[in-house]
Amino acid sequence: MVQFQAQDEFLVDGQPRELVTELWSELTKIQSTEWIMKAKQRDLYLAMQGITFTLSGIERPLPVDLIPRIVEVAEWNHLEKGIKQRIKALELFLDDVYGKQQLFADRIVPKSLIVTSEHFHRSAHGIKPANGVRIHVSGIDIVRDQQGVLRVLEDNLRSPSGVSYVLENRRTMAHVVPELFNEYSIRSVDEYPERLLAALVAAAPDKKSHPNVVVLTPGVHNSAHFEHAFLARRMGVELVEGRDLYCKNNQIFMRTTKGSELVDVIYRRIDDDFLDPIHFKPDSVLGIPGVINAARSNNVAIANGIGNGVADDKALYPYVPKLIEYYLNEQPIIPNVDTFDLQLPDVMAFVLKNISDLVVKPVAGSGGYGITIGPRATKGELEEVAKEISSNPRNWIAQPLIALSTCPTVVEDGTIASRHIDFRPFAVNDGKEIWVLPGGLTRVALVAGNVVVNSSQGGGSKDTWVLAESETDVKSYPEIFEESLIDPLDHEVVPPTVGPDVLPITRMQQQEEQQQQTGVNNA
Amino acid sequence: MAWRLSVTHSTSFQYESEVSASFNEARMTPVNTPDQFVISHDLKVNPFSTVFSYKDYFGTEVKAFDVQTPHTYLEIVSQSLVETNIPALGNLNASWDDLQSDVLKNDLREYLSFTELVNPITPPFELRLQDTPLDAIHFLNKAMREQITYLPGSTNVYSPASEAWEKRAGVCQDFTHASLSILREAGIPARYVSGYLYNGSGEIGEQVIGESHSWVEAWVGHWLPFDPTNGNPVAEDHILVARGRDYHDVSPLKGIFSGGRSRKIEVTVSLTRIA
Amino acid sequence: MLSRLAETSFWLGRYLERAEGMSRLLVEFHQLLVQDNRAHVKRGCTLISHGLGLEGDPKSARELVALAYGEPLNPGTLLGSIHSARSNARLIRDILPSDFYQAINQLNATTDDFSLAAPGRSLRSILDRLAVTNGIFEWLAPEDESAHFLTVGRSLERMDLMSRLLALKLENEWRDQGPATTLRAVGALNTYLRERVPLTTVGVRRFLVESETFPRSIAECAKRADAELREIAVMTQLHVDDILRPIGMLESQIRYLGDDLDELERIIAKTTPAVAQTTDGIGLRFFRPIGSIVWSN
Repeated sequence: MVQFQAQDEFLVDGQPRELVTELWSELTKIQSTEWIMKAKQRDLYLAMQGITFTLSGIERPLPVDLIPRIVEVAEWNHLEKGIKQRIKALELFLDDVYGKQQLFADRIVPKSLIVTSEHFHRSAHGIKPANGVRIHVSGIDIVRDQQGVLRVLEDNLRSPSGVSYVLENRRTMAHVVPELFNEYSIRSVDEYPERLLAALVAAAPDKKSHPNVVVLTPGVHNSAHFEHAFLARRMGVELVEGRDLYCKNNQIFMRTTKGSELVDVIYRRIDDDFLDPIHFKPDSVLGIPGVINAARSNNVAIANGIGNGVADDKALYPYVPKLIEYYLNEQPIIPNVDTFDLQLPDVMAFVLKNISDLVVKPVAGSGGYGITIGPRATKGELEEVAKEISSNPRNWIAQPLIALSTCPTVVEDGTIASRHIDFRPFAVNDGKEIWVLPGGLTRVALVAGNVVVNSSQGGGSKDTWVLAESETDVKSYPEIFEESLIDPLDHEVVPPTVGPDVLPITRMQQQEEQQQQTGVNNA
Repeated sequence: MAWRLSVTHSTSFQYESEVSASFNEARMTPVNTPDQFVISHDLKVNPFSTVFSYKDYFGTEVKAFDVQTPHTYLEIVSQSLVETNIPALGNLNASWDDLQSDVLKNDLREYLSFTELVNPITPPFELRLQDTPLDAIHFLNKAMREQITYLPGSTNVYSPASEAWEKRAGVCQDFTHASLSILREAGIPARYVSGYLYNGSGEIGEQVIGESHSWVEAWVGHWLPFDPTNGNPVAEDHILVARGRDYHDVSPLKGIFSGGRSRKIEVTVSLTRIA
Repeated sequence: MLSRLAETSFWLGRYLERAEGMSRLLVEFHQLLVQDNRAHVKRGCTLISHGLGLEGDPKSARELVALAYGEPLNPGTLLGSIHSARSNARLIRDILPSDFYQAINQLNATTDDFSLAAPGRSLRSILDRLAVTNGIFEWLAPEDESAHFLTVGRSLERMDLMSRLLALKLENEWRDQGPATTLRAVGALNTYLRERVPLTTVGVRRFLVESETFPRSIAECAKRADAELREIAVMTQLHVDDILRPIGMLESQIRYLGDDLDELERIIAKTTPAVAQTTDGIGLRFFRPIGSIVWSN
């Protein structure tokens, strides 16, 4: 087995990198008892704000580690360019697959790979979004390998979730550890809801100036309901369930106390399979019968597009670099993780022989379920997997094991230890520009040595600081005392007064200042 | 000499209790092909509903409509006037080796894979022992009627090939699914064709009660249509409506409704040769 | 606002009010029946359980409380109405003042401690939580559609409960304690006594129907429901006159009641149907019912 050492985001041979010198000296000043106290403050704050994630039916806060991850300017620019390039190519791919299918004639991707994808929806064929966008929101998962190279681990083009935690993590950090922010100019993540709304408005059919946008949720029992409510609230649009909408004459209406209101754009957070019982699961009560044909006649825009899953199918993943060359005539800026295509017999043989050194993933899986990590699996498990993949090569991919980079993290006993991390930046496509949120969800495996980093696997997250180019750049200084824009949602816990903050006084002073300013302007 | 056929396909549903809404898609519009020309087509829905048309992935004209006033019955009348010819066949001399080409297997993957309805069965013969794929088709076309008895009511629209095969009985849908299963197993790409069959005397003006029908197109160098249910060649008496992997892709009418209880369905198809 | 949210708000109001009304009634009925050991206790239990629309045949004060306390899945019982209030609140927690939602959760949690061995104390603690919940609502609820629908629901439920209580005619069954029990069961004893009217059966019945000083009288609740629904009408630019007709009729009949005691009883009997009619009218106009959606092939 190849020996390898994961890179650390902060430290080289135990010494802080230049980028984090100031932060590291702040961090090391904090005693473990203080960390424990701060962790408590954080938990109370999260509970008070109702920032939760449902894991195995239990609603709980998504823990944010109190040590941020820092992305320097040059690296961010590289990532941003790479993500834009990738989304651009994948948009063209989807347009082609659900349209002319030129890529099959040009033998870029085997047709059989696409037509056997469970996410290739023939009912999406011929749907041409008004502004051409299908990937309104994407989350491209990025990891850093042992050589320090950032690679795309997977694409999420259906309903990537987690962006609400990105915004909330920043607020939580500013609340609990404001001292860490001192030496850094950090780019703001707060404009995400505005950007998303602008992209949804731009997606509206007929170029309406004030289209009716809604967020469609499966309901309060969904694990990401907090995020659905958060986004609806921050965009100032209605959060609806399938039964609030109905289709008539190929148009979508919302039932309100005033009567029926035409809906122009649906930002849906339910899966394709549940969207329209005519075309998919006939017993689905979460969706709206008729909505697909409404989209087909461009009476409503559905974001993200129907059938996007064919583009983030893990079996397509090895072909994405080729798609970038084919559609854009460019070389991929961010490389993939090397991936073995098990449908090729030679490759399959190699993989079966070396399975104890590889990672095997189901193509349909998400959330880290069903992954087998060769070096950590028992002989029995490996035999089981070997049998599975040889009988069904289309449903699996294999990759070399990557030692995900680590980052210092506060662990339970209040000490700092290194934990593996990955990164999900979010991009919003409004049809004119692909905008990448400067920040993202850094997920951290809270179990020592765990290399599957996923919130569905009991992981946590980190606030991700993308540094501003220069002092004059737009930056967000933590507005510690600004009242949260989000009303607390969940209150199973009664919060006692948190910490030594003198919140009310400061806030009232701010308001007075504002009033004075207004007075001056009026005079 | 081309035939001119008029088809009236009426479907009526009776609901035991009131249906508050229903959404439907009809695939009843004959398709234009080099061998078939659609002079006119019209679909009427009662209670009145506006009909929206689109072409689906398989190139079939779909008529979608919803009825949102409470109703206890639903009638759909599809009327078409079509000119048909004996299909012009291309070169059908593909060898078994030709069918093994990666390009072909890739491009026609959808017509080589089993589906829920076209599932594996075990025929008592081996198609691949025939000299050429074309011979295999001729053999199969004859063999199917020896294997399966035409017996309406023995299966339903959701029956997979294996069910009819076990019962050795079925209707055109089952003959088609079973043929597709055997062909795909042998590596011959094959697709489901739905349409209408005129089974009258050919006398001009005589109205004949028919049914919606299905048959097979197999790829043996070019697409070759054949009709395993009756073993006759596909000719002017076949009107082509839709093609797909199996019945699911072409079902003449599918939809969902809410509020109602069990229903009675009546389907009548009448065909008249006009010229 | 979304019809679903409006409907949920409306029923949240009704269930909260039902929980409060039933708790108060049960406290007093329990008192009455425990103190009265005579033969007609059993008859009283039957009468009361029928009046509350409960299915069962309680034979003692304890059995009556057990029956009326009921079960989580029957919203016609006290426990059921609290649970229903809680599940409705959960569905619309995004639009409720957060303290209000929290208070409802705590109310729901109180039911865990309910003990039939001490029904008086248990019911009292439910009433305390309800008082907090309602207080928070009065204090924090924004002037939005949701709050108006909730208040309409609450006012209609009050009318319904009041007419059901009066239909029991406790004052006739227990001539000695009945009138006071009826007043106590709706928290009206002090208000009534301050009016310096003799504590008679007729006096009490009239008071609970027409009083302008007591906010839970049928007349006052009808007025409130009327006013709140008219607020909604303004907000939604829809007409509500037809919906309010059954309630409006009651209001005017109460106003011109005079000394006709038969008319008084007719008004009491008409209240429950009027509430049901108005509820249906509100549902059709604002909630746009879609029935149960079950799609089949």
